[in-house]
Amino acid sequence: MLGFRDIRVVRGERTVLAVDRLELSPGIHALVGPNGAGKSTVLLAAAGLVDLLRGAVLLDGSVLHDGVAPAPPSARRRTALVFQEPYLMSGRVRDAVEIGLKLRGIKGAERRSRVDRMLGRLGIAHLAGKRTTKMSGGERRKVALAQALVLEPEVLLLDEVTVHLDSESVAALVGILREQAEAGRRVIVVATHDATLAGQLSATVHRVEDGRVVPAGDALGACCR
Amino acid sequence: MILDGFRRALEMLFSLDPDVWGPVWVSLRVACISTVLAALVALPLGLAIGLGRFAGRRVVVSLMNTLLALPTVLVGLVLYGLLSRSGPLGALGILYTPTAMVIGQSVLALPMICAFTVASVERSDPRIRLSMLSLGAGRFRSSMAVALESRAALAAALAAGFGRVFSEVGVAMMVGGNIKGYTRNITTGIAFETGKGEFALGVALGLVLLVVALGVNFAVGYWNYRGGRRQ
Repeated sequence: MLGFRDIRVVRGERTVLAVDRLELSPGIHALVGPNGAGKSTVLLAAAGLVDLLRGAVLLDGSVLHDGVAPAPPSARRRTALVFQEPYLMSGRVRDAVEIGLKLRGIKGAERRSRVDRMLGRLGIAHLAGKRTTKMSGGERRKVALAQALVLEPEVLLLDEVTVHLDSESVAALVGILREQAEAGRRVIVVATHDATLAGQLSATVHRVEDGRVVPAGDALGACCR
Repeated sequence: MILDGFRRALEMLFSLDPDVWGPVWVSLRVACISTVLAALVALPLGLAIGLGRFAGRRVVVSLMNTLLALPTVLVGLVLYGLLSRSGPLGALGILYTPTAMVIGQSVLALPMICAFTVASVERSDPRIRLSMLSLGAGRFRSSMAVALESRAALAAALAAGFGRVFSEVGVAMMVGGNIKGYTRNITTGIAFETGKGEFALGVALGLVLLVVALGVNFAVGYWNYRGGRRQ
């Protein structure tokens, strides 16, 4: 269970996130709302990458983040975040996807096997030897997804992940996310403008407005209000 | 006189005249060691200042930028005061040695490399650090990633530091003493030889100074170009 307690995030004089209490149970959750509503900030708070003026983010009762960012590495390694505009380190795709596994001390053979499996599942095995700086927007996003998914984190945070992706890739991603959600007690949070995606994922939908998170019921309702 | 000076200068260069190549060797050796020593402090310091968030950070950056204009003669003067026989470090007995030149030139290169490092990491893409942190890296690993991704700018910082010390004359003259075959380097050699009317030798040394300075910048530029093509 991913919990937000009495969270306040401010930028300058402006409060950009104010969540008194939010509990996200294992499964897929979609955050929907207009630009600048605070969807990305919710994800950054959960990932321990934004300063919290007060409050705490908890995972299964233990504190993930409760103050100045970044949160300790041990807490951050329980989560993985795919940014809206992902940055890939220069080098080969395989090396980029391996970074998180190396940081977690996963040894060579297992690391290679997990990376190969994930690249294959996302249909980008042929990109393994390609330089990250020579890729299209869609390819970069898929590599960023592979970087996060290969970690099999307890909390997976995805920010507008379907931008630049073709329908085939979106379908593959939906399959992987649903499988990951069903396989374990994993919390997956997807910030999206795409109500269809929320529907495909059978996600619990939360609407974000002016830095506040409110339950929105079904995906269509959230989209069309 | 100028054309004749150039002709004689080229003769001296190609005949491997020790009066030319001795100071060149001193300049290269002292400038390289000084740049490396300064970089060992300036690169981590620049990364810490550029990526850090602490009170007084802007003041530190301004101070570092101000030190870019530090007069070389002033550094030489202070160092002379410290290292002279009656100075607090006089017992070390290193005044008028290459060691004293290395210390002085390291002091000159440090703010240059540090300020360039701060500027390059401040201008680097903020997503580099965030991406590494989101993958589970600690502060050190994420800072190293920023340095690695900014390597072209950091190479330029090192080249600027090397250029600063390779072409300076104040420190070398004041704490090196311009001793022939020992601490005479290119710049002190030019000043001394031209002063006593040996224009050709001054020109020969000047040509080497120019070629090395341009060579370092071309090398850094080519390395960045190749890096860009590989990416």
